Amino acid sequence: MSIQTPTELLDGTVLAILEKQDLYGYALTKEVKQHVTVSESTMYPVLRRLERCAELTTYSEPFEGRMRKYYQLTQEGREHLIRIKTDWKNFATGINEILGEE
Amino acid sequence: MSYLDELEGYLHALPRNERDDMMSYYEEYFTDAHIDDTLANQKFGSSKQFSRRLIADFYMNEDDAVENKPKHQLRMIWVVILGILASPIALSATIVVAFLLLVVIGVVLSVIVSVMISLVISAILAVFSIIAGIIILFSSLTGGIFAIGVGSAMIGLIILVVPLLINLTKILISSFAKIIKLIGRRYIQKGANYEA
Repeated sequence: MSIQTPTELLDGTVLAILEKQDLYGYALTKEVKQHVTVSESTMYPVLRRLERCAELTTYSEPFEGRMRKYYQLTQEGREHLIRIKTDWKNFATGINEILGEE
Repeated sequence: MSYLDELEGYLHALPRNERDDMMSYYEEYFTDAHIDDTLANQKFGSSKQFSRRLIADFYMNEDDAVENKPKHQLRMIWVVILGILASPIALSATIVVAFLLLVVIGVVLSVIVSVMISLVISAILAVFSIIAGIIILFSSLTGGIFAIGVGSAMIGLIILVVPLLINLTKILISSFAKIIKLIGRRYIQKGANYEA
């Protein structure tokens, strides 16, 4: 596929998944992969950036004798997600009108 | 030595907290995804290649986030070039990327070097002119004063022009940084996908 997922949409995908539930790195990557093509090393920079912008927070929970880091949406994250959704709706409508129909 | 230990060693170019964060992410990820050393090599390439892409990624994002000094930008440019070299790229794309890099580096370097050389030469000429002026002064007053005047005027001009040139160099470096980031984003992200 020659269309690459832009950063903004990748952010949106991650935020939308985390809106439903808190997840740890591997589970989140698997979930993202169901929707967009990403490599396994694409996720870390995305998470790190969102965490820095305070759109995500993290907490650790014990699992089989080790700690797992969970990512959780913050209020800023929710607001960003709403903005991305609106932008996407506008964008998709425009493109669909011209490319969506056979 | 395990893949992750090697990786941590290669990541020493990163700030401490960043490296720790990255390592704990990938340690957890490798355990959860059941990635052993062989699989890691298949998925991410050698630990050295993987580390170079991670470092390039980090500095590109860093460059977006903060107001940048040319020194930081030069380091970013360097690690991104290493990152691109450590990415698997289709042959045709490699040629394009190599060509782009060569052209851009060539232009930037030649501008900087030629400016430097002309500055140094005019400074030398100015100093010579003043010295010559002082020597002539005793045999020909007007000639001596004229030569000293020319030399001083050149030094004055250099002093005026230097800040301009420094700014120009800064602009050159940051546009170079922008171009390199574009190339890096395009090819390192894609290249990160060893599974494909």
